[in-house]
Amino acid sequence: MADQPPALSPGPAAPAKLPAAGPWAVPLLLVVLFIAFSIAAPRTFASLANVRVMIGGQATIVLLALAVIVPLRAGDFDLSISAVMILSGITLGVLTAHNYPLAAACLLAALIGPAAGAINGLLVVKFGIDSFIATLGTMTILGGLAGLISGNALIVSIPAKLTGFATCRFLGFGTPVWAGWIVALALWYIFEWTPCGRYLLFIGGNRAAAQLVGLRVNAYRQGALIFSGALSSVAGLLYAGLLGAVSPSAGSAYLLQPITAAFLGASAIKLGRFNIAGTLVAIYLLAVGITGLQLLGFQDWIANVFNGACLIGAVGFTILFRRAASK
Amino acid sequence: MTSPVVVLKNASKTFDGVTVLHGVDLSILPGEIHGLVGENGSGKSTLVKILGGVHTPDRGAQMWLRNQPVALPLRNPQLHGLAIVHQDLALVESMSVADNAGISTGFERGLAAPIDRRREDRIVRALAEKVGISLDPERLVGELSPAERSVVALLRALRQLGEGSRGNVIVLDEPTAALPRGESMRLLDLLRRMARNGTAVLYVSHRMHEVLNVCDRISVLRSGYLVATRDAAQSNEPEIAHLMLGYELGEFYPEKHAGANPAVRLEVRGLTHGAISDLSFSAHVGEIVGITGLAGMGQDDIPYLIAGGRIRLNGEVRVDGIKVDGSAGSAKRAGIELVPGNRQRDALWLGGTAAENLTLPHLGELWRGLRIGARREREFAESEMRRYAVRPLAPSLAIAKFSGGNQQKIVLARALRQNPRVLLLHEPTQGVDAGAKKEILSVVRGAADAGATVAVFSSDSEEVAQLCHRVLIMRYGTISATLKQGEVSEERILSLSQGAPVGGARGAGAS
Repeated sequence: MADQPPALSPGPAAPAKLPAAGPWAVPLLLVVLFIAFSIAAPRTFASLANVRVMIGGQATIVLLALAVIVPLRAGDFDLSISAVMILSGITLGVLTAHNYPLAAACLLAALIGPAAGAINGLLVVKFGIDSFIATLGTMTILGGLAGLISGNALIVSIPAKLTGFATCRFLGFGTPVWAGWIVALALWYIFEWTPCGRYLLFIGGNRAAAQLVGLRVNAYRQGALIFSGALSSVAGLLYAGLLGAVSPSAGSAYLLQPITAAFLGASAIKLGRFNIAGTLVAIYLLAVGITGLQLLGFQDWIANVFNGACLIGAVGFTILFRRAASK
Repeated sequence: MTSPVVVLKNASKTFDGVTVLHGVDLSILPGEIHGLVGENGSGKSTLVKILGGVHTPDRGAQMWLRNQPVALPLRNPQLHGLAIVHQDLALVESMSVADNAGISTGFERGLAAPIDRRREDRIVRALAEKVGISLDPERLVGELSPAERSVVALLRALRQLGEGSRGNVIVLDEPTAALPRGESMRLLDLLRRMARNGTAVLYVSHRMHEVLNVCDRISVLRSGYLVATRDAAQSNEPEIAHLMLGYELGEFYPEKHAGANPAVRLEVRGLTHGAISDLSFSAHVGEIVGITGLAGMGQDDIPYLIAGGRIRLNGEVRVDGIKVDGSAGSAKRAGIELVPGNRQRDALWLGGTAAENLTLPHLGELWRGLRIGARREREFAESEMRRYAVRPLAPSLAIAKFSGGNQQKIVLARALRQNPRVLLLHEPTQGVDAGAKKEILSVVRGAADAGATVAVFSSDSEEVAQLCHRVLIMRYGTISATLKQGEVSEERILSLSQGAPVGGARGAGAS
């Protein structure tokens, strides 16, 4: 027989804290990589110019990752973000070529996103089509439309005013970078400090329960998809301004990276939750890793390999960490 | 005396520095039904998971199966003749009964031939008949009631062990938690038959009378210690309860306060959906109404029709004259709170903490100065958790780490905090241990005394009889009998559920 139980105090003792390192593994990796590359390539990597290039180069990815993370938090994919971005940029160029004034062209182009989001919401929320499939469909359709209105040609008729706005710098960073950071700050506040952020999380975590608790699940899901579309459109305008040209076939290059970053971000800072800080860390981790490896002499292929390896590594790490905590 | 088929010595288990199991010794004899009882959080499930090889026990544990020492964690328990039906049944909802029953054994088929669906169905049907339950092997598990699901899980375990060879052990973790009395009796009969054929059964349950009834020996866990193993024949319910709780259970069911307020609060007219046809009932202010019946008689759908927002409401529901259209939002506005039976699926976000789950509908209240105050949220959660005696009192702990009873208290606390006018409870104490059940029932009683109207949709006839002022018995989608205050008793509920006319009970017709 076992020893005598202790005096009659009901219930187990308060559980011990989890090892605190888990949420900080990805940020730590970012710091370690940055220091390692700074030592390995002190002249090229560890320069202010390079840091600016790395951050500036991720501006579009940051905006799209922020777009996709909102519906992801509510449990829905939005694969149409990159197609919305490209179609918005193309539309802007084509309208400008047809002598529309800048404001009207920008407004019309920026409306494409919310409209696409509303259609996605209709398909996903109202008709109940799986979000992955529905937005895969709209992505393909929007990509086709971009080809149609551009005549499959590179659109270069981007208004000079927009180009000037998108490329002007403040403290060394361009407008798209600042736009990304401001949106990130706003979303971080909403996600972490407001009921809305908590509702989205709950809806993504257990839709049936959210419904029974009385949350307006459909409205939030619809709103999240409209938001992701709208932000993708804004990203499209800034993207067009930044490059001065939009190719109708550029969309696919901007789809997987934001989604990778969102998932990678869910294994940092707030484990298992789509969160803003983690996503930013993830994006910059990928940028630092890839830039560093390329400066050390690797070719372009390393980018994809590094992206994939980080995603699997980080998500795998999170799972192992959780298992260790609950076994 | 024959040698035991299972011997476990000195099994301890520590999670994150918290020891939930302290040096447990357990032995199970062939042909024995061995009961394992204890409150939620006492370590029953951990012990079962060690037996099943899910958890690795701390250093120093040893285990023998059929006199062979085995390495821990145990790999492939079914090869040693050990099959386990876990509390979370681990069924695939989108697959059929037959597929679920066969999935861990492999299917009957020739080499490279497709699965012979008809043969599979036949095997499953035969197994089901043994348990005395008719179950269509082609039905999707997702469509089944909780009762039917546990039968499927049991069928799967039976199939894993093959035909009743001696020296097998089957471990049932809370198998009857979701079953109404009648059905669990049939299950217990099957267990007895299996035991007579030499299969040993470890039977984990909250239902003390069942354990005393069916088991040969009973082991009691309390706070991770195995405090006693008793011969069932020489023990009784108070003794086991005392061993489990460490204190006297006392009067288990809260006292019924007589006399409900005559004012009608909840009125349901002509409710029709699926098996339910033209159902009408009403409930008064401060009244607890029980709606019960055998599994599958339609009572399980009613709370979700009234407040679930899943299906268009066909019929009329009013609360204090305010019309409810069946959506969750309009139910909220009318003051209806629903505590669902499947709390993990319908009430909780398992990725969140206890506080996050508890404060969800109250975030508006905690939203001050343009943010949700972390400290305010913690204090809110802590005071609610203290009020309903949730253990452990750790608001920032993941909800998934709480026991079923404590999760249920959190769901109940969340609902009651909104001061509902009508409280709909679906299987409120399913999978909840005796101590927590007592606490939950007295909370429900307290809510009714404070003026809430409570409707309890439960298949636990004992609970319904003890708790409710008035009981409506459902058969085939309609109310077949009503037991008024003073007429309510468990025996009447049981026999009326089976369809027998009983003296003293009123005939058909809703209130």
